[in-house]
Amino acid sequence: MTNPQKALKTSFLSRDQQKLLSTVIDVIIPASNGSPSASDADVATHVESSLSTSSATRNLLTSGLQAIEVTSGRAYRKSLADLTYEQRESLLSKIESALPEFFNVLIQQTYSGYYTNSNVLRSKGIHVGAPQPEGFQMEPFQESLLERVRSSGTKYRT
Amino acid sequence: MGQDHDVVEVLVIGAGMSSGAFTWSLTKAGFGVMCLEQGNWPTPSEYPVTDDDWELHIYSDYHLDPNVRSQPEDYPINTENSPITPLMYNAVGGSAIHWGAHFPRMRPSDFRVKTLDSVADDWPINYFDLEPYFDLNDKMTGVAGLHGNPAYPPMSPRQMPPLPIGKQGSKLVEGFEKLGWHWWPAESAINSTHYDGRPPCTNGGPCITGCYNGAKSTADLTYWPKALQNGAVLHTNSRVSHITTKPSGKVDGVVYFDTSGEVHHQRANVVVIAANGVGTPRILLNSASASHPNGLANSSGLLGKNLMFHPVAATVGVFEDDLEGYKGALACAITSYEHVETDRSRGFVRGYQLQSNRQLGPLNTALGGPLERAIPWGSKHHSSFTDRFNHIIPIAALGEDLPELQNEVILDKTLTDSDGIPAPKVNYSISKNSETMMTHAVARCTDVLEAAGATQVLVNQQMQGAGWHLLGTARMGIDPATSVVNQHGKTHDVDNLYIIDGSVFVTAGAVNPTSTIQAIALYIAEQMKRNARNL
Repeated sequence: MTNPQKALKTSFLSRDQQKLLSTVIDVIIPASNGSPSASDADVATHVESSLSTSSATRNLLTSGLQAIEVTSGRAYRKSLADLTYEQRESLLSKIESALPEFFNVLIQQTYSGYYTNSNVLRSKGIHVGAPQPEGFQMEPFQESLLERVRSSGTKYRT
Repeated sequence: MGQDHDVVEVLVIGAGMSSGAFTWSLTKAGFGVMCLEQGNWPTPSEYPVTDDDWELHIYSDYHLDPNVRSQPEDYPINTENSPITPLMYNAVGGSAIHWGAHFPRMRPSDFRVKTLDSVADDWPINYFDLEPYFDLNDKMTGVAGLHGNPAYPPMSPRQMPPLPIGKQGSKLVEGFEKLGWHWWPAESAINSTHYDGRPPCTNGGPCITGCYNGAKSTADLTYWPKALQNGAVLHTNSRVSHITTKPSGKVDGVVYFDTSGEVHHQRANVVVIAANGVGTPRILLNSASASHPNGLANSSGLLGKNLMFHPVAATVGVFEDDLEGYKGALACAITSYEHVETDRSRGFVRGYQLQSNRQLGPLNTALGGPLERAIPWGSKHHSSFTDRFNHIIPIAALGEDLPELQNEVILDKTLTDSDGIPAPKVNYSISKNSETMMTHAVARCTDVLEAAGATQVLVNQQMQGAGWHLLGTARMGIDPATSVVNQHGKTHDVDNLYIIDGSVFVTAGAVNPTSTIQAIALYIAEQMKRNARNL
């Protein structure tokens, strides 16, 4: 079955909003030790398309992005993109507290895009691909482990 | 509205786990049975477990919560007054399609809590009444497990050896052994060898998005093919709105919608409802008539009342070792019944079962899995992920919820499904007994995880997404004033109306209920056969 979130590629953000989204998600997941940042893993496209499905989710994203810029302007008189990483992290912590619904959705969608990206998984040495049909080899259960429990007497009431 | 077909002998609403067992049993004895199911036949080749983006589906079109999944066959549920979200799946095979297939039986004391512990009520039937049906159901399903669990009376031999417990399970066993606590490999409705024409599990998991190769023993693969061979008729995409009654008060059929929205009336001599602990009271409450003004089979006022989930406390131990948490069945490794019987010195009555789970995949790890809160974002994100992925053991402590009148399923005043049928609303709160029990469970899970070597234990004392088990809303009993169905599953109020799903549970035990739900369905089918002359 095709995942509706992946199938949909609707764009609704302006270029400036898309740039800001990329900056924001790179604060959430920066590049590290060979793993790409969220925007390098094309997560911005995933977040935008996932939240394009209704006017409510579109508004949640656009109003959240606007709140980030407004908060940044008030605190630093600068756009988020012009702040240091530490300043960006501190600012997003404020947004997390002030706009929990927006931020939870943003985290959910950022992580969803990132941890289903095959380049990300490879960079972390994680098995890429579906768990079935191949599956995995495992050792059979060793009954000898139960020696103590078997001899410990009944544990039920009738 | 069309009058559909001839009068059928027995009409069953819902094609899930209880219905499959029941319909197989009745049709084997020659009864004519028609079943109406609002969902579809699942197609294992379409389950997303073979897609590279399989984990995304867990959060979208295969989400456990029907309000999020929101597929055409789902109905909405108003959950604003419940800290636990009811979960279900609408298809042939029912909610088992997305279930972990942990398959323990309820235990003898679970049926006698009033006598033994002076709480709630005893059941009118007991473990030993159900034992032949547990045995039959195990044989029909195929159980991977091990004979000799001291937490149960001696049981018939298991059909298959236990599933592998993996590095996570072996590590956890070290903790149980250090503490001297009971543990046992899980009873699993998942093949560990070839059984009944189906292959063994490939240890791929994750079970909750459907099993591609059919090793997970859901009723669409176990009972339904055999029931159809026996002559059962199963109509999918058929959503029952209400049950119709004659002036005498007896039922005479059901009204249902097909996918085009067309309304049908199917007449029947006997109606059997198997729509789960939320769907069953919903349909019966929506079947009010002049002779049943408060809903069908509701003269006691208890229809929809006494809703029981199993409150679940989730603890996650973080270990230094790589435990390969991506391997194996989701919920079928290690169980413990150390704290399942009442010990009043703990400050609560009844008890809880522990079951270990695997970790699922990288996305679920990042989103926190059973902790229901994502790992940190920002500069600590990557190290937090590395600390956890393949380095955790989650334990679910599943507690016995006691029946309480204020926990209920009612009809929502405004919310409806896509056919305009009133949606259910759940009003539920965690009792003081359950809260104390879960506090105790978190401390004991921490003990065993630390004994196994955990460097850190993370806690979610009350899982929101834990409403897998929907029980008690049409309870069984001898007295029509205090119960909805009698000891044979027949409603006290209506001679030709039966309930066979988890709604009939008097108490919940502290085990996953599917094995018991199916044993009860087989037991009720047997009572119906014996009383066929009076139907």
